[in-house]
Amino acid sequence: MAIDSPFDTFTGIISPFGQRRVGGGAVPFSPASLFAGGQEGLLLGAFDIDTLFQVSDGTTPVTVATDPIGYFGDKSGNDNHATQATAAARPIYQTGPARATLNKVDDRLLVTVPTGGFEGTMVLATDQGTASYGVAIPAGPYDIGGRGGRHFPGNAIVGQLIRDGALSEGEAAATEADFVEKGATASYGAVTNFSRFWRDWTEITSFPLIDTSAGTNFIRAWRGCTSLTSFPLLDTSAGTNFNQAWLGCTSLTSFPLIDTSAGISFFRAWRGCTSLTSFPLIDTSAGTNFRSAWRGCTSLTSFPLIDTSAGTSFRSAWLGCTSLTSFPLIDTSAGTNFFEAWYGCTSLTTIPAGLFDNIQGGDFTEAFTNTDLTQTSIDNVLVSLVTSGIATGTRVFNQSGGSAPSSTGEAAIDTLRSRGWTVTVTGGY
Amino acid sequence: MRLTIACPDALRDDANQLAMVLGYGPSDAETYVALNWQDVDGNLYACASLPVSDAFTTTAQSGLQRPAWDTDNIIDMDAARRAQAALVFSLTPVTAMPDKLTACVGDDALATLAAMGLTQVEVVTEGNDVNLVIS
Repeated sequence: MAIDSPFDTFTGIISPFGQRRVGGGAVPFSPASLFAGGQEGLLLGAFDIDTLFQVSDGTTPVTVATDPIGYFGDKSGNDNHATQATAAARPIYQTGPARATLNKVDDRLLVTVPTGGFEGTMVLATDQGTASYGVAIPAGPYDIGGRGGRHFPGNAIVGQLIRDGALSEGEAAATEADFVEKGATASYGAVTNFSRFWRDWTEITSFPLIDTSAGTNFIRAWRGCTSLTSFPLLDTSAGTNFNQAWLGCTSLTSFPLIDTSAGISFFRAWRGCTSLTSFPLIDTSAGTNFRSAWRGCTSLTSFPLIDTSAGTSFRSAWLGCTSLTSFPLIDTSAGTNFFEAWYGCTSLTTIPAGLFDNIQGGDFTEAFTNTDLTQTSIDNVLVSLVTSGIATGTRVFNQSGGSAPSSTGEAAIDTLRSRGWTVTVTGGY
Repeated sequence: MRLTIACPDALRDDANQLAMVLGYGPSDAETYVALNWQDVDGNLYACASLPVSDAFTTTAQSGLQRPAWDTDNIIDMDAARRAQAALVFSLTPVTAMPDKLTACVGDDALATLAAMGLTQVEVVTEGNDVNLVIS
């Protein structure tokens, strides 16, 4: 049957341009049609004021800007309405465009996801950008708006669709286009501050390739996204602060070669990414703070020769990376703090010669405690500390586990002690 | 105007009773729940932010009456009055105090909380326990 046939009653063809062909003519695409087959989910649209009420029992219609939204009616036909019974936590209706504004302190609505949960696609259209995500949402209460009332990729909801059963690319694009037509901002391309945008959004299973090219602040942006297994090659070239950006993304098995060349702080950036087995050779040449950056990445078996030439703090940087067996000759020439840097790297056997030849400070407190260094490696470390010439400030070095130093290492210890160092090594020399 | 309120841990129960008196029903007992904010001394606060009418501040500081909906005497009016006695209203942000219910006017809730000296609680241990505790 030809789609353009005047006898055509097929209604399921959706073009990427948001038009559905019906009976030979184009009619506006409606996201509600994505539930026509009885699919579970929800569809919220702040632009449809008839679905908004001030009280959570669906009474007292929202009529003007500044009215609170205690009831956000589901347009999918599934009666998965979002409600907020506590007055202080209700989003506020605003116009131009019509949207549910969030204070990111306590505002949110709750949906009770039915038995079986939702596993599919979420299209979230906000005042700052619109995107489609893969999601797996368990049955039970689910936040619409700020996660925990606090974390949200924008400041207002224009539209939100969640469907149990993944949307096709065309369906997702058409839904996004529909929401944008209703007033949502299409791209995140103008956003500079992504701080906490997707924090603790544990339901996100796949993240879209959105435009983050203007982003400078990625603090805690994806922290706690525990269901993400991979991450797209976003444009992070303007990013300067990646503080805790991917902390606790425990399911990430790989990480892309994103542009971090402007990054200054990588504090806790990938801490606790326990499923990462390798790490790309990203550009960290501007990075000064690597404190706890890869701490607890327990599956990392190797580490690349990244540019750490500007790094001053490496405190706890690789603490607890229990699968690391060797370490590359990174540039530590600006480093002042190595406190607990490789603590608990229980498989770490190999440290290259010369790693600390040009360091600026001698705080190696617990740096190599509970490691498995070979005799050559502990000798390499001690000789390199001698070469550094550090004879002022904090001068502490600890090693336990692995091998004791040879006579070469012992001679280095003698020199270090003569320079005021407190040195503790395996074997007790 | 938008009012942003910082409720210290010790006043949460009383403040939720006051929220019911000034609010609309028993669900307003959930106004101050999560202790997600802290001051420089580590004191924890539950915070709320909402638009209110000009009359609200007067009402909140006047003699409290049990609301008509509370026919079952759900509200502990003594507790509500204790919270009211601890209430500090300010048209500009002032520093939150651990023995006061501090309510400040400001269009941007997050900016107001920052100006009140509060930051979001971030629980990440920094000891050398390799078994991570992250929340």
